[in-house]
Amino acid sequence: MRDDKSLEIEAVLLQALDQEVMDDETFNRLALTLFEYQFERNAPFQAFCRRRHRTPATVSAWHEIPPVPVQAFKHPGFWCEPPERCATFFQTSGTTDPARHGRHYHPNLTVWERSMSRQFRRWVLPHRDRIRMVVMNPTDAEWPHSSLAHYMTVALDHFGDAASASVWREGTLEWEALEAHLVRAAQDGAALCLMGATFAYVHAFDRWASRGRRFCLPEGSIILDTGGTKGRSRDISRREFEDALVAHFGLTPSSWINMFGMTELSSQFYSVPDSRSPDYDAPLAYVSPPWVRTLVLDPVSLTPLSPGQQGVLAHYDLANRNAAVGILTEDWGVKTEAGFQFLGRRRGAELRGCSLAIDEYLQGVPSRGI
Amino acid sequence: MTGSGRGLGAAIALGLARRGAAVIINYRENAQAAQSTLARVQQDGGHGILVQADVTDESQVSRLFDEAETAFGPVTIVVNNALVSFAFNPVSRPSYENLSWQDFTDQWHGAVKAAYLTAQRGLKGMKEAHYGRIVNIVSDLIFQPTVPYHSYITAKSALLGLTRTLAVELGPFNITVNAVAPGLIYPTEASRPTPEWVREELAARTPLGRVVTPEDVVGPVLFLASEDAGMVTGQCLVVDGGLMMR
Amino acid sequence: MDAVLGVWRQVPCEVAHFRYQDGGDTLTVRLPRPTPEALASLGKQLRAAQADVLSSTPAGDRIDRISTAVSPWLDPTSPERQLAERWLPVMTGYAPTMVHRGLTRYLRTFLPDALMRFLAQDLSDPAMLDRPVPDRAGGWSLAVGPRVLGQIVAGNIPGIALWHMVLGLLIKSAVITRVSRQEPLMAALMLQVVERQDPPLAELLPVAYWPSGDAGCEHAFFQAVDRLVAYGNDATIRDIAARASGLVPVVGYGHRVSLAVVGREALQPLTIEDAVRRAGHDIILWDQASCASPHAVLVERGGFYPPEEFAARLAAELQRWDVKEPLAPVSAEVAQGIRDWADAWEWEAGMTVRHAPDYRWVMAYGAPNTIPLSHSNRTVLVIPLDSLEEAVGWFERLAPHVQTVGVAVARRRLFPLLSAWARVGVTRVAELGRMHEFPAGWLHDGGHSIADLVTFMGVDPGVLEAMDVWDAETW
Repeated sequence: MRDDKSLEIEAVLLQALDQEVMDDETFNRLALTLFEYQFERNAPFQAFCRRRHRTPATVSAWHEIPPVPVQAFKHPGFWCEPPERCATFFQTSGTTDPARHGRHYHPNLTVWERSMSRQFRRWVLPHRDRIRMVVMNPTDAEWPHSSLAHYMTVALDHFGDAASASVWREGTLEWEALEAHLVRAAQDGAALCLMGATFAYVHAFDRWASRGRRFCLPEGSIILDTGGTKGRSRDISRREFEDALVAHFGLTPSSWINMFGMTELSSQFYSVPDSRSPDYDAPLAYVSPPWVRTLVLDPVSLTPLSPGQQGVLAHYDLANRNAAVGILTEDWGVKTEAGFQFLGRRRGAELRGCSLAIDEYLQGVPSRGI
Repeated sequence: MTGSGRGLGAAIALGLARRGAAVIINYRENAQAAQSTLARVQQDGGHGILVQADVTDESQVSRLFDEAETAFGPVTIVVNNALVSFAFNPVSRPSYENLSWQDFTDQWHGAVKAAYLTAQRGLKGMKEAHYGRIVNIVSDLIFQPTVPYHSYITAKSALLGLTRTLAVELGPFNITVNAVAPGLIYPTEASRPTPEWVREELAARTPLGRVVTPEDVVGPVLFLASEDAGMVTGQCLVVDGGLMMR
Repeated sequence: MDAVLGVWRQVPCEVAHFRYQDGGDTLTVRLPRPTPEALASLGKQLRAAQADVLSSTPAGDRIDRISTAVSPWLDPTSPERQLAERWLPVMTGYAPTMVHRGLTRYLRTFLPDALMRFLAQDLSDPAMLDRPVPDRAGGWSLAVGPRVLGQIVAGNIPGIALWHMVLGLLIKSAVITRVSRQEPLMAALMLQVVERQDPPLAELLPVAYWPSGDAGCEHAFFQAVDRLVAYGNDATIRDIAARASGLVPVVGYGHRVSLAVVGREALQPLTIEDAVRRAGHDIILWDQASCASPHAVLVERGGFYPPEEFAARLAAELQRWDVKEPLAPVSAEVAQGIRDWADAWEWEAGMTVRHAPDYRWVMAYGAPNTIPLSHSNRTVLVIPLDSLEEAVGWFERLAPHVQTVGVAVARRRLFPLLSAWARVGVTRVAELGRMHEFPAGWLHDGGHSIADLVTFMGVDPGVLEAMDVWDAETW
């Protein structure tokens, strides 16, 4: 049984997530309320804050709440409502060692889904109730503890029409099914929302390029990708991606939306045509939901940097009620008016000398006297 | 900040808060005075909490630190200022023949045991932070007992001894331990019985021409409690307008 | 300030410039930037010069000659030593006092007694480099060094190139040194020192630079030398060995890591601070860029103080070092890596992490959940052990990368542990506080410094005597 405090927080947040805009004062008040709750309930978080002398007694503004590194989700006790009172958890992909996953526990998915739906409606589907949707990604049924799979599932359930489907079956993307959907959409003249990880698109483009295939998707179709390509298949630039959209779908670049999500958060960010710079070399800019604020921090001291400076991103997400409101990412970025520009990961800088990083070690074999 | 409900302690607590420290205002009896100190801290935009505790009692000291750590995290500055009630009155002070052993143990408890307990319990957090500042308030009378307050001066002398031994032991952890030795501070509860002519006479012999106010002691304590004093340990800083030169 | 030159007199050649600036001062290091043809021609000339200059000098004289030639290094007032101490801090970011102390200890390796020990360690009789020497079994032995030794040097520790320059001369080899971009100075200064003292010897020590990836130069280099020594990370060495395959045998010195072990006897009131100071120094020297730098300190429980006390004191000691000899500047990426490293131990392994406010040092105490590797730059793990016997388990997790184990353990307790340590790949046991001081004749990563470079010839026992049958005069 969840207690009153937890339910009260949930009610307050659900109400807050209905707001189209949120002024700083409201955000501050809610963030501090959440911080106090999380400080009291999340024991490792409390210890983390106390070591930094940041406690409800000393913190008087949301940006003074210490952001927790993403590694915190690997701590088994990192939650406010304990696992036995949680409906589910989302598993983070281990950044270094896939065997060491983190978990983000959710008492229920009401807040998460409200956050997702509000933003999906706003940025992806503002003008119509539902759309024909094809998902090139697993859904809950395939990947029960993936936040991305759940994102796709909620999108299908709440925004997809009766002809919508995922083309992911038993661990693989079914190309024929995907292609059949695309052909049918063109025949029916039905606008399509195609969604998937960026690397799935890269595979698709490679496949179609070699076979000379192209589909004429009807006007109003939407291409949504997420995740970028780092480390999976090959890299793709924004220009290449947009050119491929034109070449393979017959769509204009304005049909492309990029979604940015993290298992450690409970909200997503969107890069929409209007937020993108005409400069193709500029990094993608993302807009934040009204209930999320982003700080750009010095990578070492973690003090906020002035606008325009590059640093590490920390997101303060009010929907993150069961973990910690402030999350310190491993991403680099620059602050913008509406959100942030994402500059990628800055990890794995080679160490000087005879030392080696753990990642390298796990791949390496020593040599001597060859 | 032990014994910071009023007088010198309150002044130091306010000074520490103004410099950005979160202060734990400890008092034993006078809740009202402590409350008003806290109010002044908060008025200045500082952070503080009130904790009632007898700092000569081990379990109460432990509770004091528990509450402090819950509120603010590890305690990195301890100022031992608490004082068992004592009246600085050269006229009515008991002569040595009339002094009871209890008078000595009372002072010993108030000065040395309190510092012993707070340092011992506070060490955990300071080691955790690999940083710490302990400041013990003693008295310039231990260098020149103008008025031989036997029990008081004996206890404060012992506290200076503890300051030095602790400084040796805690140096490796980057924890400094120092003492501040004020002259007669007026006005405070303890100096109220001091007759005016005594104060005037002291002032006349003092190069800076007056007795010490609580505010005079704040700066030296803040210095020793700050990062600026990182290379100062085991020292005793006399704050008495130059009455005692050593 | 003056430019330092490493000009070859033998073969004309283009020059690569390395410029450094500090305040109003500048330093230019000019080094030959050869073409493949120049390298090939250099190799030929060195072969001839080597025979002229060294082949007939007997071992004892050779040691005298070499130690005289390098003697200015051991004189703190020599121009080269002063130049090195002036500019290495600028080039590497290491504190000047650290450079001074590190160099002083390192350069003692070139005292004549140390050179003698190097030869004696691997060769039963150093004279075997000059002529056949009898062995106890009744045979005869000879050792022949490569005529031209090549080395590809890494830039992590200043002066690392000097080692094989001197070693090469000891075994009568000419040595071509390809310096690293990070630290081209010391090899060039070595050449300058020797040139002043003994010009013919200097001709045997050419230094060069070409960018990595210049396949033509590299190929010519592999052909010009008879044996190649390469330092670098494992991947680099694997690549070099693959490219050198069929051209020249390669001795590679790859990534190595070290650990320290502190027994409970070092956690006594009168000993703990000494142990902490020794560990602290081994950690901060060269900011853990050396293969001998400890990544973790394994501390035994059961002493007067618990391992937590050692950890707390070590944290404070690292803080003091940051005042005395601060960490060399690191890039934002590395800084972020350090913080990630610290966060991972704190959150994933539940370790107690202490660090400078700006992460200029980090100490993590507890039991790691994965291999106990530091992130360099004064980041160290302190791991409690119930008994010293557990130490080998941690070495094993890093095997076969472990090089040095620094120890502060009572002699009678240490000795019984050694066999097990050797079996998991530890190649050196050193005194805590002196992990960076490699003794003359040490077993380099478990191999032989000299024996791995020379080729031996044995004459079977009794062969000479048996040849009497062919001697008509003795019939």
